[in-house]
Amino acid sequence: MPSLGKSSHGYDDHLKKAKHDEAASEMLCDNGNFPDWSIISSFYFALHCIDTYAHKLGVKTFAPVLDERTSAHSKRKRFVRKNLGRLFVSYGKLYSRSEQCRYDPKYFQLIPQDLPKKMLDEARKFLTIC
Amino acid sequence: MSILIKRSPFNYFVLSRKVSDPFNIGSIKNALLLLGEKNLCLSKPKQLAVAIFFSRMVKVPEVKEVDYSINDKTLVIFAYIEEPNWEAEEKIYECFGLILDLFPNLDIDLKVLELYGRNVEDLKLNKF
Repeated sequence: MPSLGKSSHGYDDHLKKAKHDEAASEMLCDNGNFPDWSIISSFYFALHCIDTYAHKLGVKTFAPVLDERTSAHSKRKRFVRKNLGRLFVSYGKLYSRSEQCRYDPKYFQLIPQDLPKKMLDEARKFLTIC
Repeated sequence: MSILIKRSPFNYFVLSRKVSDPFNIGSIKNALLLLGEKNLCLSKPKQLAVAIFFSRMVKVPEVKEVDYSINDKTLVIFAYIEEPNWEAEEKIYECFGLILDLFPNLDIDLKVLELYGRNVEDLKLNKF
C-alpha cells in the first residue's frame, strides 16, 4: 500500500475534479477539433477517480516521500494493479495515450476519429469505483 | 513480425528460443534455469524484466518493436504498435501487470505508442 502523506485535499475534491475532467473530455469529444486534449482529459478523469477510491481506502497521496525512488505515477499504477485489477488495462491505455498526446507532435493529426470517444468510455469505467 | 532490441544486456533471442510458452511464467522460469539463472531474484532485475517482457511480446504480432531505457531510478519499457488494437493492448498490459507482480520493488513504466506508418526512430526523437 502506498505510504500516507500530508494532503490538503480529499475525496470530494478528487471527485469534483474527476467530473470536471469528464465534462471537458465530453465537450472536446463533441467538438471534434481537439482529439488529443479530449484523451488527456479522459486520462485525468480516470486518475482522479482512482485518487477518490484511494481516499476511501485511506491512501491520501501517491506522491513520493523523502528519498523514495518510486514516482507517483508508478505508485498509482501499482495501486490500480493491486486493488483494481479489472481496470488495469483501461488505465494503461489511457496513460500511454495521454503521454503520446502530450509529447508526440504529430499524433493529434493521426488519431482515428472514434478514438477519443472510446477513451472516454474507458475512463467512465472508473466512475464505478467512486 | 519484426521486433528489434536495440540494447541487449541479456541474450533475449536465446531466451525467447528456450521459452516454450511465453504466456506461462513457469515456462519463462524454466528457460531462465536452462540459461543458468537460478531464480527471479537476480542481481539485475531490470534486465530480467525486459527479458520477460520481450519473450512474451514475440508472440504478439501487432507489437512491431520493443525498446527500453534504464536510468538509476526507473525502467521504462516501450512497445510500438501500428494503431489502436484492443486485443493486442490487452496482452501487452497483462504482461506488464505480471512483471509488476514479479518485481514489486522496481520502478517500472510501460508506454505503448502508436506508429501510424512512421518509423520507431521518429518517435524516439520525442522525450517520452
